[in-house]
Amino acid sequence: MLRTSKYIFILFSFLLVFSSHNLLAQSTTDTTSSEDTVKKPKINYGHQVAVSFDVAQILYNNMLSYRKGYELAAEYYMKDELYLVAEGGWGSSNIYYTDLAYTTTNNFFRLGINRSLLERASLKDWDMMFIGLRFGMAFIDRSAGSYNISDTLWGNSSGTIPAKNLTAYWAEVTGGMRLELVKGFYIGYNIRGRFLMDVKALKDLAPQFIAGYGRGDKSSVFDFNLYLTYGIRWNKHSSTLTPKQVDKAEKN
Amino acid sequence: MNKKDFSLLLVFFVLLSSAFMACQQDRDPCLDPKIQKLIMGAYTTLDSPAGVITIFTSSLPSPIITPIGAASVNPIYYGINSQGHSFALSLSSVSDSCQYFVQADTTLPVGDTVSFNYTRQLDFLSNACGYTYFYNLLQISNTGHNIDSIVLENPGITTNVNVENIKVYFHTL
Repeated sequence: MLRTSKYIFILFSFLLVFSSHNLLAQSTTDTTSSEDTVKKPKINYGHQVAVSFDVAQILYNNMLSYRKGYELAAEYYMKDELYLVAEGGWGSSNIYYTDLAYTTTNNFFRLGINRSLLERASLKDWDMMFIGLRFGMAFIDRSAGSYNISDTLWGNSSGTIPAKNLTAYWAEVTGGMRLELVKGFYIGYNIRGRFLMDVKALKDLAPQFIAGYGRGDKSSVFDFNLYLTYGIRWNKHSSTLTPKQVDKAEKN
Repeated sequence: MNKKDFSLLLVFFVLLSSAFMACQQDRDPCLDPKIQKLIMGAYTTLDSPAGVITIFTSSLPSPIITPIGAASVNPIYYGINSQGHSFALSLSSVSDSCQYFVQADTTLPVGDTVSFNYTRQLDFLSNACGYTYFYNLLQISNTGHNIDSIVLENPGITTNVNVENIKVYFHTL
């Protein structure tokens, strides 16, 4: 039942992203046809590649002694307010409790898209509020684990769990915003809901922390990133607009 | 949306995320039982002259239940019983068998020995709780001073505490 609702939620999120895309396109077409008899030239905002560093991970690393995680993201503006996103990073966890001890290290990547929901105020406006989807994978090396079961009545028992290489993969729904502070430099955040797709693969000794995902013993997790971003742009609004049309659009 | 609105939203989010981060902790509290217990239901039978056997749940008002060969020799139940007719007994996690001394009432002169044979299965509960053993009951044997018979109802002993694993039928007190 829980698994079914998870997949319904993911499907709904996909529909939301693509329907928002179609609605915005529809709205643009309607406005164009009512205001102008001549077809409005399509505005090309140029290209942008942005690289982000997640500072929230640094704060987490200092607050939670058992984990270390680092995340980077890159996004490329395609067209029609769609961004291609690739994210990656690495991390580790060191669990040392009296009844359970093991370590993990892992790398991860996430691929997906972002869709900006705001109309631009001008041609130079790259601020955005967005929703997006991701698919993520993590490759985990888990050390041998040791356990101790405390039983005051019959006596304690202890043992070891063999080391194992694990793969985790998940779907992700995200939303957030970016604000350009000075030219090319942004600050922004992502809120993320993640849904582990193969819970059984981690059942034996689920890692307390998987960099890129979060709590390995939870089938769905909530997370956020606080990004510092630098974006490089080229071919700025170069396409079908004449210089006069660009001036007019910029004034509007 | 202008820059000012954007900035306000960003500050709001940073405050919200700070609150979220403050709630994080190194290890969650363990909310599951770390030792899984066998649930024993107590019953009595009454034979009528017509040969009809009637079964009653028995609350055993003053029982003695003591593990045999355990680190502690103290009874886990003694005297006044507030458990109703269900009793939770832990099985040994260091052996595939264990025994309990069961006396239906403190006023009785003798009690019974109940022996449990089972298999153990190591199970990962969570990072908060660590590992535990689940059990699968194979065989139960008993002496017959107070106990009439024992029926194995559900051999699996897991975190589910709502399942009665065995029914113990006592002679009418």
